[in-house]
Amino acid sequence: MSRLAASTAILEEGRLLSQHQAALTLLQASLAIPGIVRLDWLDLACGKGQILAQLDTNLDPTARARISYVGYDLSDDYCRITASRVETLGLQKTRTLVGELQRFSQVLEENEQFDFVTLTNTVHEIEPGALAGILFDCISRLSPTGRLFAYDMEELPTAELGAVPWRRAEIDAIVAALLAGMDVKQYRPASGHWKHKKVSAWNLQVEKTHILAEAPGFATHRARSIAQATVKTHEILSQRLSDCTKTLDTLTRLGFATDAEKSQELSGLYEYWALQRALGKTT
Amino acid sequence: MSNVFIVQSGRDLALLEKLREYLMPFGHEVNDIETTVRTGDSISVLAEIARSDIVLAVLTNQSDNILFELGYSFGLNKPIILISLGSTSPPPVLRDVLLMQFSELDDGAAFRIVAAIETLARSRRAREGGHVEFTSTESRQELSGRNLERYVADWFEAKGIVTHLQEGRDAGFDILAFDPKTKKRYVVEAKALSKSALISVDVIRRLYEAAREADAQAGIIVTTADFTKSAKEFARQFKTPIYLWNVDQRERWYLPKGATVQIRRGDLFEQRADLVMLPCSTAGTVSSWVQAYQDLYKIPSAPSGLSLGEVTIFPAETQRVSTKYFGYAASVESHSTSAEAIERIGVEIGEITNRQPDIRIINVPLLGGGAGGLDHKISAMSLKRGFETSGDQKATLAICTAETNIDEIDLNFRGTL
Repeated sequence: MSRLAASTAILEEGRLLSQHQAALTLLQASLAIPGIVRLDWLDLACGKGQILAQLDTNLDPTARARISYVGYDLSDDYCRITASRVETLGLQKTRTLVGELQRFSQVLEENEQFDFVTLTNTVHEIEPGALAGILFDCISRLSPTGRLFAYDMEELPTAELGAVPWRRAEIDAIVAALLAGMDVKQYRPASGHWKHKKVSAWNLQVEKTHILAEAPGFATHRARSIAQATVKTHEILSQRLSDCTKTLDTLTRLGFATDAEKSQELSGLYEYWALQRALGKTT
Repeated sequence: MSNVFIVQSGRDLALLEKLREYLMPFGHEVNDIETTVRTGDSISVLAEIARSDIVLAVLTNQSDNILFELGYSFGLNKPIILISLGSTSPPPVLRDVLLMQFSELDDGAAFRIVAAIETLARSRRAREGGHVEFTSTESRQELSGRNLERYVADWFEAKGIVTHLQEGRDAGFDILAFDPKTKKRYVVEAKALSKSALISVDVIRRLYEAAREADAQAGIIVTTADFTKSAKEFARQFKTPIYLWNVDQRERWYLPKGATVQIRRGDLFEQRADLVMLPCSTAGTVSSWVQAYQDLYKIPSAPSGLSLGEVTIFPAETQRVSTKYFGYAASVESHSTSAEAIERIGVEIGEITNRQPDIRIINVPLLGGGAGGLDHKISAMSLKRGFETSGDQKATLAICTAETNIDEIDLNFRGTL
C-alpha cells in the first residue's frame, strides 16, 4: 500500500479514542488469563502510536510488563515517534518496523506469531485489491488463540483522495468470502456497528481458534481464499461505482436542491475517483 | 421486540431450536425451560413466564408441566398462542385461546407463527398508547419519527404483512416488512420532517444499499415532507425498486402484485395485445408515426384535455388488428415530460388490468422519448415501476421498441421478446 497523501496519523496525548479503548480492553482481558507471562501484540499501521496514549492508565505495570509490542507503519517518522513513546511504558519488549502494509508478513520474522493484532483507522487507506491478502496474513500471523481487532470508519469526516471506506456489511461479506476460501463454513467473526457523533464505523474481531477448529490446514488455501475475497471485493466496488455514477449523473442533469445534495455532489466525486482507481479504470 | 416464552414438553429439542431460529432474527427474546432457564426449577420458570410478553405453547405432548405453565400464563392474562402439530387438540378450557394447527413446522408454519406474534406484540404496543390515528393534515406534520413508523407499520399489518420495527438498531432502515404469502420482504425508512423539507439523493442511496443488503423486494421511504427532483429521478434507476411515499397521498401507496414487464423488439402492432397504447400530448396532438397508425387502422383521434400522466382507453372497432382496445397516454405537455408522469402512466395502465380482466397484454411504446426528450432508459424504468406497482399479477406490459441501446439497459426485466 502506498499511504494516501491526504491521510495523516494523529497523536494527542490526553485523548483516547473509543476504538483504541476497545482494543485495550480486549488486551486487558487477555493479559488477565492465568499463567500468561507474555503477550505478543502487532499494531499494524501504528501511526504515531495513538493507541498507546493511555496504556499506562489502562493497564497496571505488571500487565504491561507482559506485553511484547511490535509497531508497524509505512512512515519512518511515525515509527520513530511510536518507538520513543513505547519505550517509557515498561513493556517486556518493543520493536518498530517500517514497510508497506501489504508486505508486513514478509518484513516480520519467519514463523513469528501474535496473540493480538490491531488494525485501526486504516482499512480505507488500503488498496482494495490488497485488502484480502492483508486480512489473510493477519489471520495467518495470529497465534492459535490469537485475535485480530480491526476498526474503521464507514464514511470519512474529511474526504481523502483515493480512500475507499467500507461499510460493516461489506467487510462482513469480504471476510465471509475469505473464510469460505479457507474451508471455514460455520464460524462468522463478530462485527459491530458504531455510531459516533459525526460518522459511523465498524469493528471486526477474528479469533484464530475458531478457524483452526474448522480448518486446521487453512494456510494451504491462501491463493484460493484471497482470490474468493478479492472477487467479492471487486463485486462490491463495481456495484458501488454503478450507484455512484447514477448519483452523479442525476445531479449533473437535475442539479442539487439542498445542502445535503451539494455535499453529496462533492463526496460523490471523491468516491467516483476512488472507485475508478480501485477498479483500475484510471489508466 | 417481544419477550417470548416457549412452553413445550422438552422432548422435542429440534422443534425448539427451529422456533428459536425463526423468532430471533425478528429481534424477539426467546426463553424456554430447556435452553434459557438453566436451573429448570419451577420458580425460575414461573419468573420467566411472568417476565414474558407472549407465551407460545407447543402441544406435541400435554404433560402436567405444560398444563401447569399454561394455567399460570392464563392466570397472569398473558397473550397465549397454542401451536398444535398433527392431531393434538388443546384442553377444552383453552378453547378461546388462539390456536394454530399445522401438520409440521415448516417455513410456512413458522412465518405464520411469527406473524401472529408480531400481531399480538403490536396489539400490546397499541394498548400501551402506541397506536396512531391521524385525522388531519396538521397532525401528520407533527408526527414524531416513531409515530410515523407505527402508522406505516399499521398500513402493512392491515394488508396481512408482518412488520418489525428496528427499535434503535441501525440497519439503515426503520421497519422490516415481510409478506408471509409471497415471502417478499420490504425495508422501510420513515422520515417525519416539516412539510417544506426536501429529502435528498443520499437518503435514497442509503436505503437502496440497505434494501440490497437485506435482500428486500423493494425499499420504501415514507415521509411527511417531499423529495428533491434529483431524488425522485434517482429512485427510479435501481434494480431493487425504491418507492417514495407521502403520508398525504396514501391512495398512491402501492406494493408490487407481481405483474410482468417485458421489452419487445419491433412494432407496436406486430404481436398480439389486448390493449395498444399510443402517446399523445395533453393538447391531443400526436407524432407523425402515431398519425400514420391512426390512418392505417382507423383509430379515433386523441382527445384533448387529458392531464399529464393520464390515460384513456376505448374499444377497437377495426378488423385490421386483433387488439380489443386502443388507448392514449398523455405523455407530453408543452414539449416536455417527466419520469414521474411516465410512471403515473404505468400505474394507470396497471389499474386498468385490475378493473378489466379481459386486458392482460398491453403493448406500449417507450413514452416521452420523442417530443418529451426523456432518456429511453428512464422512460422504460418509469413505465416498469408504475406498472409493477399496480398491475394485476397475470398482466404483462410489453414495451415495444426498436431502440438498439435498450440492450444496454440493466432493467431486471423478466426477459425480452
